[in-house]
Amino acid sequence: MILSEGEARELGTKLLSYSRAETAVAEISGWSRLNVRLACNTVTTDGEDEGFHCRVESSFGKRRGEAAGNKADPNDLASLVRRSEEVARVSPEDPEFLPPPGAETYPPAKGYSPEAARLSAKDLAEQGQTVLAAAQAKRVVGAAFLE
Amino acid sequence: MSISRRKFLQSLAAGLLGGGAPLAAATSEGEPSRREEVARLAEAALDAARTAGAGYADVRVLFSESEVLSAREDRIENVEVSASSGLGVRVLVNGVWGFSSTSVLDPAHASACSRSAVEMAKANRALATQRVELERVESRIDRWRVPIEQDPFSVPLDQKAEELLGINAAARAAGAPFCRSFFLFVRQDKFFASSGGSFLEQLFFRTYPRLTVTATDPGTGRFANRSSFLPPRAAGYEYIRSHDWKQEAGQAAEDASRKLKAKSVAAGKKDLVLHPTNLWLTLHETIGHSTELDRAFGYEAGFAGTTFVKPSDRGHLHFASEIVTVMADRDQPGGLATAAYDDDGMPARYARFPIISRGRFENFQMAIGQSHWIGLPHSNACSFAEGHAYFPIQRMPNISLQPSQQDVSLEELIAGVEDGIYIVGDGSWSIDQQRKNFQFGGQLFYEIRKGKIGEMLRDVAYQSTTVPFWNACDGLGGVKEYWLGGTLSCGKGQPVQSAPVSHGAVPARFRGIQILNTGRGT
Repeated sequence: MILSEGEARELGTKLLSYSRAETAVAEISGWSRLNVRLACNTVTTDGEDEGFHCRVESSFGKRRGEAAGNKADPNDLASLVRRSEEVARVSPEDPEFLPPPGAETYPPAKGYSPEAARLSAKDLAEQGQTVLAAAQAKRVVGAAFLE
Repeated sequence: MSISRRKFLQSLAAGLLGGGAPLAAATSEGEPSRREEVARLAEAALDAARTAGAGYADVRVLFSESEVLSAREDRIENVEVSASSGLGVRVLVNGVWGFSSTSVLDPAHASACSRSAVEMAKANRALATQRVELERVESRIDRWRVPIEQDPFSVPLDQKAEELLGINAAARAAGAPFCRSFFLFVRQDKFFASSGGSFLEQLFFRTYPRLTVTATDPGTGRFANRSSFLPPRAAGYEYIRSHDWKQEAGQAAEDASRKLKAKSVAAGKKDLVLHPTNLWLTLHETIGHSTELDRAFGYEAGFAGTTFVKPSDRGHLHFASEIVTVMADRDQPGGLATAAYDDDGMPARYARFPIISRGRFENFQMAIGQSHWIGLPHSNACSFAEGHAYFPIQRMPNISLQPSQQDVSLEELIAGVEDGIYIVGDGSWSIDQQRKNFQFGGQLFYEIRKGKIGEMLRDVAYQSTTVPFWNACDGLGGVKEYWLGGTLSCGKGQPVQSAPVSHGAVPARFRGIQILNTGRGT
């Protein structure tokens, strides 16, 4: 799943609201992937994947722990935070531990392409046909991976 | 015979699924409720796939957990736990595959996933110049688990951390100035259901402990590493408990220190004796990958590569000397590819076959839909998918070099060498995309003079091509020397997938192999 800035902020705020640790850092990522693979001038495999990943690092003093999961519903997020805190509590102290920096400001990311996000399996297949046509025209055996 | 979905749901409810080990006894979770949940998801996905027009469909539902603890000297660097689950649906529509996955486990998402997979197959029909032909896979309802003594996830994290620090302390007490170590544990509950009526559950455990000590020479700026030889295994926490870490750490510290002072090797042709801790990787790269049927037909040309082995070589190619037999299997205790079924739902008994028999190449590894390329009736259970979001592709089962039938010891192999090198442990490797020209390093190198181990060497790599190398093998250790190595992360496919696989081997002697000096000019 592709998260908007607002959705990511809401999830991040929710995650941190569950935290009872002295410091907590949450990383959230989501994706929507579509792929098709060609070899021997034919399609071999393809795939579509909607995914989500969340990692939380919690610390108490110099003890820290990390937990990661792939579920975005509130109960799972809360248990992820709890798990990272459990791990931190039983971990030995890390003498090199540094607390996370305070609030930062970041420039807007420019990596998002609405055109890419709109691509369908049919669009990818059309691109694949271009590859196959080029291979056949040159009488070579083509292989490609389109994602 | 195909088993109706309603029947397997009824079987689940009645607790009548059988054939494998009693899974519920091995785990503490509410396994029956998980099976019922998965059966409902599978039913929704398979019904939706059939309604949307799939001629064949299979569903994989995975619940995975992992723990990683890492330590450097006297401190724990990181403790991370992870849990994930999801579902993937593969469909075949008019001879074209479609695949879709989701991490949301409810029947509505499972059905939507199937519909997406069918849409994908239909969209890609225009790209299909060849149609996939599937053999019939026998339908089974079964459960199986990796046999373990102690679930690693039942051991408290602080206890594991203490054990890890104890290993580092032993290495430092033995004189190692620097040491790193980690424990990695994986538990994966994997379900497979197919439109043919199969419903399979397999519970996997993988455990990987590793220690690396580093010795340094401030005068020259040189450093030397020595890692533990313990490979990842399909095992529980008993694998860590049963190892003599104090001895391993002490030996590693001593070896690393000796490596600093070892003399640089003289390049040239020499006889080699390879310990299985080194040979497993050479076996993996040169025999394991070269005998994958999808490579032979160009299906991996875009990424992992092809192979010098041609389909017509089956039964003809003198791949190795006559003493060499290499077997595939999925039933070796501790094997990372050991399972009751592969990820196409093929029973593991099909994965017991010779790849090389008395030097002759006999069989390729195959997933479903490939056997007819070479006129065979069915796959040999060599399919694997890294996770729920990955299309199952052809991957290695356990592939192992068979011991000599004589009781040959390592010392006897060495005794037969006038001027050679003995190599222990795996190091760097490089091999071309046809799996032909290669170069391998190692961890520890010793010269062999007049049948005896001599001084330690450094800067050693051996270089050869696959068929001449294996035909230069003239001595193998006996069964007492057998050792099972392996890796958790063999890469192949696009999107790239990582697969766990084990390789057993015995010490082996090779005549007249080119030795390189890797330190020359540095």
